[in-house]
This record gives sequence, C-alpha cells and structure tokens, in this order.
Amino acid sequence: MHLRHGLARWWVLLGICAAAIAWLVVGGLASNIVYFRTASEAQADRVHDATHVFRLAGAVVPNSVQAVADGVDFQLTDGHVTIPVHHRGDPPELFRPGAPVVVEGHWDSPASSAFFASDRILIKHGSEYSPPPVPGQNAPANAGQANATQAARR
Amino acid sequence: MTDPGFVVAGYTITALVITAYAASLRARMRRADPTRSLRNRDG
Amino acid sequence: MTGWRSRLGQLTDLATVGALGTLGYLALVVAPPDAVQGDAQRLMYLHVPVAWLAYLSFGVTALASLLYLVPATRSLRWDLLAGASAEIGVVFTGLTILLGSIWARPVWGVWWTWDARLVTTAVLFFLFLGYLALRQVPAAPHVRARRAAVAGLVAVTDVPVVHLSVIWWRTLHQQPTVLNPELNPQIHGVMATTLLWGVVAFTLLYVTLLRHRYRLAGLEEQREELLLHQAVLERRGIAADPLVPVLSDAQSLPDTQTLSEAQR
Repeated sequence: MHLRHGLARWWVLLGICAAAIAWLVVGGLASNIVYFRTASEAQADRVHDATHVFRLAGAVVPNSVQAVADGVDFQLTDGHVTIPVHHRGDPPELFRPGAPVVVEGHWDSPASSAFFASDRILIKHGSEYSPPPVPGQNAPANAGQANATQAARR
Repeated sequence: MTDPGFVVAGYTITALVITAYAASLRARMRRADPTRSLRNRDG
Repeated sequence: MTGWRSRLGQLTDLATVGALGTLGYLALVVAPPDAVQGDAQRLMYLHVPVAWLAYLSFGVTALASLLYLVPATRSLRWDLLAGASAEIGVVFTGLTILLGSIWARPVWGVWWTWDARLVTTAVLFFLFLGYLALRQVPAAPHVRARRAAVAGLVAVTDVPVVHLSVIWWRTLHQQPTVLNPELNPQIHGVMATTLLWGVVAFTLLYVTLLRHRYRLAGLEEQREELLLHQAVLERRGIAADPLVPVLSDAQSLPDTQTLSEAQR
C-alpha cells in the first residue's frame, strides 16, 4: 500500500510536467515566436492590425523624449520608419535616448496618423559588455538619463 | 545606474541553493547508508 | 574507501569552494560595472556559468543514456550516472531561470516575458523534472533504465534549441556573448576573464556535485536491494538479523519477478 501510494505521486508529478510543457509551448511559445515587429513591419501591417496588441521594437529617437501627465511621449525608429509612441506610466530605469527598446501596446486608433499606445517598455540590450569610460561612473547611462530628464523638462 | 540590491539577491540566492543542495546530498547519504537503514527501517 | 581516491575527492571539494570564493571576489570587487547596465551586469557572472552547468549536466545524462542503450557498453552504472547528472541539471536550470529573472527586472524592466529563450528554458526544466519522476516509477531495473535512457535522449534535444533560440527567433534575450555565430566575443578584458573563471568554477562544482550524487545513487540502489531482499526473507518466515543473511545469501537472491511480488 505504501508503495502504491508512492507510485501515484510520481505519475502525478509526470502529469504536471507534461501539462506545464504543453502550456508553455502552446500557450506561450506558439503565439510569441515572433516576439516583436520592427517599425517598418508594424507600419505595413497597420490596417490589418487595427488596435490589436503586439510588440514593437526600435531605438528611442534622441531628443524626442517628453514627459507628459500620465507617462512619456517619444519617437521610435528602425532607421527607415519612425513611429510616435505614448507610454502610460514610468519608463524603466535604463530607458534613455538611443536605447533599443520593445514596447507592448497597440495603435491608438485605426487612423493612419495614430500613435502607438504603449503600456510596457522593455529594454533590449545587446550582448556587448564594457566598463564605463570614466572608472567608477556610469557615464553613458547617466548622461543618457540626464538628457532624457532635460528633454522631459523642456 | 541600477539598484545593487538585485546583485546582492542574486549572489545570496545562488549561495543558498548550492549550500542547500549540498546539505540535501549529505542528509540523503546518511539515510541511505545500508548498515544504518537496515537496523531501523522505519527511521 | 580511504586512500588516494578519497584524498583526491577532498581536494576537489576544497578546490571548488576556493574557485567559487575567488569568483565572488572577481565578480563583485575586481570587475568594473558595465557602461550601460551598471552593477546589475554582475549577475552575468553567475547566470551564464550556472546555465553552462545545466547544459553540461544534461549533456552527461544524454551520453550516459546512450552508453546504456548501446549493448556493448550496457551497464546499470550508466543509468545511475544519467539520473545523478539530471538531478543536478534540474537544480541548476531552476537557478538559471531564477537568476535570469533577477537580472531581467532591473535591466529589461520585467521579471518574465514570453521570449523564446525563456520559454524553451522553462520547457527544459519540466522535461528533466518529468524525467526524474519517470525514474521513480517502479519497474524491473533494466526496464526502468531503458525507459529513462530513451526519455533522457528525447529531453536533451531541447538543449540545442535553448541555445540557438536567440539566433533562430527574435527574442528580447541577447545573443551569446562568447559562443556567438561569429565566435567573436564582445566583452572587455577583466569582464571576460571573470566570466571564464566563472565557467571553470562552476564546471568544478559540477564535478564535485556529480561525484557525491553518483555515490549516493549507488548507496540508494544497494539499500533498495537489501530492503527487498529482507522483505523476501521475512515472507519466507526467516526472521533474521538483517545483515548476516543478506550478505551470505547473495547467490540465492530471487529473480526480479519474485522481487516485484514481494514488493506488493
């Protein structure tokens, strides 16, 4: 009886693992395999997307960051197409002009002049690592944030 | 500049996980010792 | 069990502790903060070596499973080694995800996102957790071993998928810094040395943990055999001082069928 009991427990764990894998692959991976779209792709799919939620990737255009009442406005570019973004809430710590970011949200309206309404900003950093130019200080990050703050004040 | 609290948390958790796993190996080793386990099977 | 082997074992234990301590010093004191990420980047010196340890564990599980399946090298020792290594792999895959989450929060801005690298790593965790559960399902030793070996070889196919996910698909997760397709590491000198030291230290940790876990697997197997044998003896009405008959009665061990009957 003791052994039967133990046996059932392992089958239960196996079942949980199988269910977790199915949930991760079907629910998570399948619908996120294209994790983000570039500004050009988003622009091209605009009519089709309407106001559905998706992720948009690009770099924050320098000097485009403006603090507004409920968040921050900025321009996002992939080098070809530039899209105005309105983000509700505080941007993350490493958000700064020039930073590569992924924003989650949707077109504010189906109109071709609509901005992208974001409710989450993710920072997409590269795989290059180096110390700051001046030892002991994070010059670029700080400088970036100072610019952002200045831009926001203007 | 990022919060160093995350770094502290990460290094602490890693140290705890490694120590806990090593301790579990030690405990299971003692329990599996054949001369011990046969003498008191229920323990 | 004493002698040069246990001496060497103690030496690896000590070397592991020393290497990990040195890594802590290099990563937290010697290495500079990153230009963009600041101090948070120091989590890389754990996240990457821990992930490497997990890959290594599952690689060894796969190799041992294969050696079990090939008739010329078939031995239950390979099965025990595969199981021992997989358990370590599961612990360190869990830790990889945990560390990644702690690193992601300050740098990406979220604890978790549905990125291909993250999801395939979580799948890897559950694949091998399931593998460990499967190993516990009772069966005759060689049935269980073959079942586990096949499952181990199936599960390990996710390891290259995890590693290449950041190249195959668009992800938020960055591409490999060192093992990138161009094989051109983009990392500053002291940081690179620290990362390399981390990989060496965690490889050493793997060797140490596997050594102990494999010994434990042997002990558990022995204990299981003795307990079963004792149960058989008791059913036959031979009440006994457990140690004596088991050790002298080895030839008259019943076959597996009788054993599984005794189990019930």
